[in-house]
Amino acid sequence: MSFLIASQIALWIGLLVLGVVCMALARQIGVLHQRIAPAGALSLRQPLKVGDPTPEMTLTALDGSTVQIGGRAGRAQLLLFLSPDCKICDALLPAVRSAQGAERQWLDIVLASDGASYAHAEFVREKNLSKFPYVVSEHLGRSYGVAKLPYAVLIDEAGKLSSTGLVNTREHLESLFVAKETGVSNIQQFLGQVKPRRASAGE
Amino acid sequence: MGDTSLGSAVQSFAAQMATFQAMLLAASAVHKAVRWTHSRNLMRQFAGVPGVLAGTSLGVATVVELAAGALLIVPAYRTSGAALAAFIWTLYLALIVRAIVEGRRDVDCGCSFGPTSRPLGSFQIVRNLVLTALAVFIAWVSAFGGTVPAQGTFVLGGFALLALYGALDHVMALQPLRSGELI
Repeated sequence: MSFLIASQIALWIGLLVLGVVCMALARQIGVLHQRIAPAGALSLRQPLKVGDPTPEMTLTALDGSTVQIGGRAGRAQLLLFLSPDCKICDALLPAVRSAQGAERQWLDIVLASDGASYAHAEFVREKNLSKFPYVVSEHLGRSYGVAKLPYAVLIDEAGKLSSTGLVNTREHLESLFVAKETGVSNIQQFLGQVKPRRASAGE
Repeated sequence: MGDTSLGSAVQSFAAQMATFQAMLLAASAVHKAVRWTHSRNLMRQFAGVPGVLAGTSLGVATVVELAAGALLIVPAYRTSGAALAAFIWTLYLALIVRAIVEGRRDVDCGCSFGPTSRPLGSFQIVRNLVLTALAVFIAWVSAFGGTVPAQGTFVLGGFALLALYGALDHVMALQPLRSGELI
């Protein structure tokens, strides 16, 4: 009997310590979220500004299908500019596949690049990108002022430029979606207007 | 150990949960008292209480929470305390649901122990449903199955459960990640 009581007390103490440790860890994560600046796509100088109507283009993808870029497509469109030689683009592909699944209800993803088509066809085969429309068009890149890769452009359902920027990580890519949802066009604008907040778990 | 029957186990569990709810209600009352001005503003913004009545309403809410907690601790009044606790949780649940229905998900409900990055949603609803169900369970056991006095281990267990509740509260206050596979 005394052993059972002692073990019950020990278990409650263990649970109490566990709860306090969990609370401390969650608090630390909250503090870190507040201290670390949010990761966002870096918006570069570009011919189109956020909110501008995007040029409507009809291009032919590598697989021969027709791809309409811009215009009132009824669904949002993410143009991801990449290159077979770009190692960061390689590292970003799992995030792009993940985003295609997670955001499929409202978003279509189009991969874009320029240069020799055969190199891109090989790239598509090697990286198993056949699920994405893949267009090769220098004109498309120029229209959006793409200078560095990987670069992403998010066009909203009305065909207007929603957000754009250099995307090196999954966080950068997702920041474009968050920008569309919140109406903040880029990381520069966000950092310019953000106010210091208390940590999520701290008073 | 002659008290290992199912009935006494249920009574002990109800007493343990009563101790936890009493501590939670006390913590909630202390939280309101410590952050009085902030809580008074929430009374207006979240609960929709007119400004002149906000302070009085907050005072009443604090006293009722303390009273429910005190009644839950005393075995003879546990049924009344549990019924009062169930009423409190249901009232808060109704206010949360009203805010969600009205599209005010981003309003600060003051129903966690700190600022939260998440809008009102299913977590707050499920949490209050569980708390209400627990209070109803305590009331039912106390009314029809008898009560056992709170023991030292119950108090210890109450602190442990309160710590876990706080941990869950802190975790659910964190900024949510977007859905999708991890890479």
